[in-house]
Amino acid sequence: MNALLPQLNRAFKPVEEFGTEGRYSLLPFNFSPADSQTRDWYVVANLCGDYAVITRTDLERLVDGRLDPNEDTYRLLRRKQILYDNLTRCTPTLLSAKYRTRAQQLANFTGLFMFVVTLRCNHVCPYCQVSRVSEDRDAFDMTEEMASRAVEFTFKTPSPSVKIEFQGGETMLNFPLIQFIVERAKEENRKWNKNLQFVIATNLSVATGEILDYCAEEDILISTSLDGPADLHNSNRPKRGNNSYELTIEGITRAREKIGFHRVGALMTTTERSLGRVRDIVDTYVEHGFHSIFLRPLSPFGDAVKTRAFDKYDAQKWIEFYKEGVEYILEINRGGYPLTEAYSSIILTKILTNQATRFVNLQSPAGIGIAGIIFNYDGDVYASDEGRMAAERGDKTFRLGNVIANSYEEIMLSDNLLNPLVASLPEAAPMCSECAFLPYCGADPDYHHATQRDFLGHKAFSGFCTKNTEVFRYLIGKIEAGGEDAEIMRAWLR
Amino acid sequence: MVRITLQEKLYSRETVEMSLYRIAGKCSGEIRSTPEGWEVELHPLDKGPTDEECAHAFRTELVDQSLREQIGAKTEHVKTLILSNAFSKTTLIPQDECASTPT
Repeated sequence: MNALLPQLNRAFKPVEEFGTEGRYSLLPFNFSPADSQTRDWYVVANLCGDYAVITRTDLERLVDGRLDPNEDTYRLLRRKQILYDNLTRCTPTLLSAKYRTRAQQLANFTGLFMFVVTLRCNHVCPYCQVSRVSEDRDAFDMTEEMASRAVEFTFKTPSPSVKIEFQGGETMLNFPLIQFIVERAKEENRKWNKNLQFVIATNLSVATGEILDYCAEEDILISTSLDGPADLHNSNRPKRGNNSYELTIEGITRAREKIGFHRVGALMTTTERSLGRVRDIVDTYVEHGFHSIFLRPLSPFGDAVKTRAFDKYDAQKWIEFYKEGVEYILEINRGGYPLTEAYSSIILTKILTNQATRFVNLQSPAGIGIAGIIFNYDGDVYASDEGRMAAERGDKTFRLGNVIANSYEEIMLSDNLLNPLVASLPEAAPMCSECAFLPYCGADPDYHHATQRDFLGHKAFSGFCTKNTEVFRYLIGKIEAGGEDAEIMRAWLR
Repeated sequence: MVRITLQEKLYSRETVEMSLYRIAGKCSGEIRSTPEGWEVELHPLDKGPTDEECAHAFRTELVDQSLREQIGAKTEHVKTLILSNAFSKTTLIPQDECASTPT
């Protein structure tokens, strides 16, 4: 028996090895004020986004090494991997594994491929970010040759999942090309066996029974625009006959019957007219049976710039709109109707899990080109939907090449892609690199190029930074407050 | 316009510059090295805050930036370790050690 003791002794380290003795080390973390008005409370977050909310005094004590191992704040910060001690010596290794997990989708590269099958449209929306042309000009349709080359390009991605999204104009005005692309992509995928998905963005106004039957047969999802109640939708989306809302609702009903209730989604665009009407907008979504709504800000691209629609409300007004909307959505959930706010859902997933999301505008490095890419109607390839919108206004900064004239390698290694990616990296950017919300945020070089003529953008003047920082603070505040709202929000995780 | 003098041994130039950068939405500034230390001149933007509000915003950022500099210095080594391990498939770090002992 005694002969075994030395072996046992080697298996266990001495008791004193496991004591903390008040010694701890900091792990890399950033801090930011927990609200924009005061400096009493701070969010501290490590490289992987594990966060805690602590007082200013505790933040200083933490950095000075004055926290006591027996106090709650110490245990909280150890649990959140802001500090480590002898009891948690593996934490740096765990953080490495978590960081690797968060970054792993980078290796998959591009997963979203948008095809602008036509720029023609039957609406004349003043905020349209695509700068539509009238619906009778065939010069604005993509050709089969371009589409075929774009499909071949698409399957060069290493991503195991490929989503092909049809964009316009009004996509269904060129439905034969959509059919051609679906068939070419399925044929090409026989070689690759990727998880292939199709989405058509459409206003549904010209969706015939035959078109919807085809969508049902080919398992195609529909994404349409619904800006709110009839008066708001019709004033946002004017059309001859002033019946855009009626056509959309009728189209949603028919599409659901043909292809399935949950295979039809809707997106809203916030305009100056929407501000103050978020409850009406949410009510419209509930009335028509949707269980998700995306309270999107208007982007500074395309005709949104030309008509000054973008300037008519600033970031702060959108934040008020967003917060009022989310509070109302929570109230609806408390009443028993499950409804998710999509932007909150994406961000909460980033805050509360180690799972990466594919939302292009909150990626680091930026999602342009490497998360999503777009083939325009003329065969030109753009790093993002916003990039092609800017091109319609004459700014071709994000044009990467042409699908007929250039190879996959020439396009993906284009300076017009690499320069903004390198210049906008948040981990190396002033203010961003030291922000507690860095793990949840991303780079948006096309936004900052559009607003500041700079891929990185000065964050003290950035509407993107203002909006997202306030959303992060608001959502963390809601989760920290606990109760039923926090439980509802946790159910929104993706 | 408001002028603030800071001891160079207490604040690095980088800390002062970053503080100015962060409040650029409120005021612009200039830094000069003088025998008394860093002399910072703050100019409120048009329709922006008062001189006093600018000075307060700057001092608040300065304290935060100073703290960030300390955190950066204290965690530089472990940050390099975490990131290199995250993107490495090698076994450079002995598994039985897991991580360095807190210091």
